[in-house]
Amino acid sequence: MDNNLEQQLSLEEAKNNKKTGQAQYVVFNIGEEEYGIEIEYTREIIKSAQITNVPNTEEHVVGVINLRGIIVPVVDLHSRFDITQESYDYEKDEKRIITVEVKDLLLGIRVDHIEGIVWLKEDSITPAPDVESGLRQDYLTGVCARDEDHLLILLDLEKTLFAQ
Amino acid sequence: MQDNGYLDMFFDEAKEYVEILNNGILTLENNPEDKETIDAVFRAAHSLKGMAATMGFENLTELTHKMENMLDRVRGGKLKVTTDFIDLLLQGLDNIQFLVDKIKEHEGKEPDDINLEGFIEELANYTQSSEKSDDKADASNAGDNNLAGDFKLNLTDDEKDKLLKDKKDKERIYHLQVVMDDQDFQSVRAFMVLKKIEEVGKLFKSVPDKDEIENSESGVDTIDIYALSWLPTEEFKEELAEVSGAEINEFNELEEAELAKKKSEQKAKSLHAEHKINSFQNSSTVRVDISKLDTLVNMVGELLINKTRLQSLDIQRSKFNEIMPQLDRVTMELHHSIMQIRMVPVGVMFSRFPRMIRDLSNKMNKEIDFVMEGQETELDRSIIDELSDPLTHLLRNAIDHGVETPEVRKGKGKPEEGRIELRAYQKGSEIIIEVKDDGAGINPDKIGQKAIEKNIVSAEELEQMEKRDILDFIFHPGFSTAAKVTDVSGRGVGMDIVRNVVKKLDGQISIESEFGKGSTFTISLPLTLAITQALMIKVDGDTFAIPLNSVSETLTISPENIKKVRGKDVIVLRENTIPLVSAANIFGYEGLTSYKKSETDLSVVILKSGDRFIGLIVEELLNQQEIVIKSLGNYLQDTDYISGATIIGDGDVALIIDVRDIVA
Repeated sequence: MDNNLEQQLSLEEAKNNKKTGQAQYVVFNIGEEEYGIEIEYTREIIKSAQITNVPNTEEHVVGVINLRGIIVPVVDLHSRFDITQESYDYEKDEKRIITVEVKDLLLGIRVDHIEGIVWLKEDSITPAPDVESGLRQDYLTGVCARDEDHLLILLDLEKTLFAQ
Repeated sequence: MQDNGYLDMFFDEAKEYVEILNNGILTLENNPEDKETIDAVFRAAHSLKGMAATMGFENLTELTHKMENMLDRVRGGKLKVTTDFIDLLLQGLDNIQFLVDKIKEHEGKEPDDINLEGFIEELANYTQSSEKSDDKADASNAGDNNLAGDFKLNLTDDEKDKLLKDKKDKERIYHLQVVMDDQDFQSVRAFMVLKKIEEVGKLFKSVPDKDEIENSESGVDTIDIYALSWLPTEEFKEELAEVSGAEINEFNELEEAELAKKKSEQKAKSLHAEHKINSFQNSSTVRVDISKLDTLVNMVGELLINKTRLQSLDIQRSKFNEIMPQLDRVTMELHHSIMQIRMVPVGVMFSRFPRMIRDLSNKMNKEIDFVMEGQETELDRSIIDELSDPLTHLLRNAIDHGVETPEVRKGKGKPEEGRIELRAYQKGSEIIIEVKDDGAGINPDKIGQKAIEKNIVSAEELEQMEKRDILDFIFHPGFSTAAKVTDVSGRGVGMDIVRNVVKKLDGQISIESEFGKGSTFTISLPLTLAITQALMIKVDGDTFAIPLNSVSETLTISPENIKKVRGKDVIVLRENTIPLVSAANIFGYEGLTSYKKSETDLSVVILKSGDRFIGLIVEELLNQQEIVIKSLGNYLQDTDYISGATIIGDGDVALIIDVRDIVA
């Protein structure tokens, strides 16, 4: 839990920093792919708690958790992005849930690994290329080349979470 | 700039006063002489005026001032309550509402572009013109008065005090003057009058008094009487009329306020301001933002969950065993009180309906006797807020599609005046709200026909269906049977929305209708949304909660007892055939599906919803416990068979089964 708290604090602290022409992203892994979401959406990062399965929901909904008395639905993007390979290099206990607030709803996104928080220059972000395996273009806001063979995929959270 | 705190208070109070005015005016229409109501309405207009003036809303002040004047004249008996008068008052009320809305829209400023002068002039004209004719009547009355002698309240301050003290809660105070016929035995008849009064009430004072009458030699031609009685004015007069040779010349019902006020009037005036402040301080109620209550409810919920967790630790120490029951009791009481605070009488919501019915029935040329019952029934505030739209819709439907026009009704041999009843009452742990009309009713054949046309059902399926299932089609999205679309109701949206809202509130709606005789819509709602007793069960290793009010009983059956009826599994329980479903099946879990091949006995929970029953096969029956109902949130709101979630002892989440979904 202490670990959670730390990460939570750093999220809050990070949010207070502002740089012109740059934005902060929380970077995480799903499978071997690296994804980023704007820090403004994020609330906290928690260790994967006991998730209760909810029947009759869409495939990407893994269930709900009890977050200090609030019931929070948790989604797993593997199925959303058609990523089949198992959590790649990561240990099971590296899984985290990022809670995000989108459209006034508190949701959890289960990810395989948290990379960290990065600053990205706005002009370093390019529109998503047409060829992205399994990923529907609508789910993306763009991509950012972090180094030569390292592409960070930036997610449009509203579409990712709410598209039918 | 207006201070927002004051502004909110203004809107809250304005809403209250508008409601009082609304109810009062409608009551007046039926009981034009009801002094209490006149006073209440007057006071509301007066307070509203005061508030408007304080906030600097000139138009509103002017308008309420004029209405107050009108009402004051009614109080003083100078104006009569006529239909025109009621219409004018209602128009005035609409204008008040309009202004208040505008002020809200303009964030606390009264917009400049509003012109009410025309209406205000109308008010003034009405007051003047009707007063002129009434003045004349007054004058002639005054003449009579002089003939019969002075008829004035002739009590000392001490007597007034005593009179008020003697008066029991519902007693009325009458002041009357009786004149004896100019015949013999005047004093005997006078005595009979007093005796009669003592039969029907209490004689407080008479001039001359009993002794004087008895000892009178010259006869008594008039007596001034102050009396207390339970009887209403007319009955009281009738009783007195039985005494022959005596006639009531003057008659007044005295108001408490009148008695209290009239003594040392000047003093009262100078104390007026002070008194106002006092009544503010004496107020024993507190206005609380509903969101603060929500927070409190959540916290109590948390407390309850943690208490349950604590209990499940099962610590074997005497101190622990001593403290736990205490904690148990305190949390229960805390929960109970907080829920109580959130309860509001449904009358708050009902109060707007008489006006709506009046306006609509006028518009549609229908005559409707609207009856409301059980306004004092209490419901959780959040339910009340949500419920007003569906009820409005049901009532509109009752007027539009239900009650027929007077001619049609006459033709059918029904009374020309239709009847719509709105009733609320508590039944067990549920609140029932009924909307009943004695109108045309619903023709199931027509509904069935329409359902086929709309491809909701096939003709073959329809044949197999019972009447109540056919009637249920009216709740189907896109279903409307109104022959023509009116702006009152009927565009096919509506009934399904009504049902959705009720469902969202964890309630149910059902319809009963006899073609030609009328329809009844029944909405049943849980008493409170937040906390309930539940039966915990296990399905495929996961724990689920079933609200106990939907559980009829639990059984263990052997697989051989399952029978088949029309291809569906059923069990026969005390001569009732109850369909069976497996929880594992409806939750899409694999395995467990072939429960019929099970070698062990099956646990079955008999669920009920309305008057329907269904048996749910579960893996294991657990305990019964109190749960705090939490929403799954909008993201998962429409999940089939699941209505919410709760947190159980170990901090895990258990889902709450939506019994309605299963039984329906």
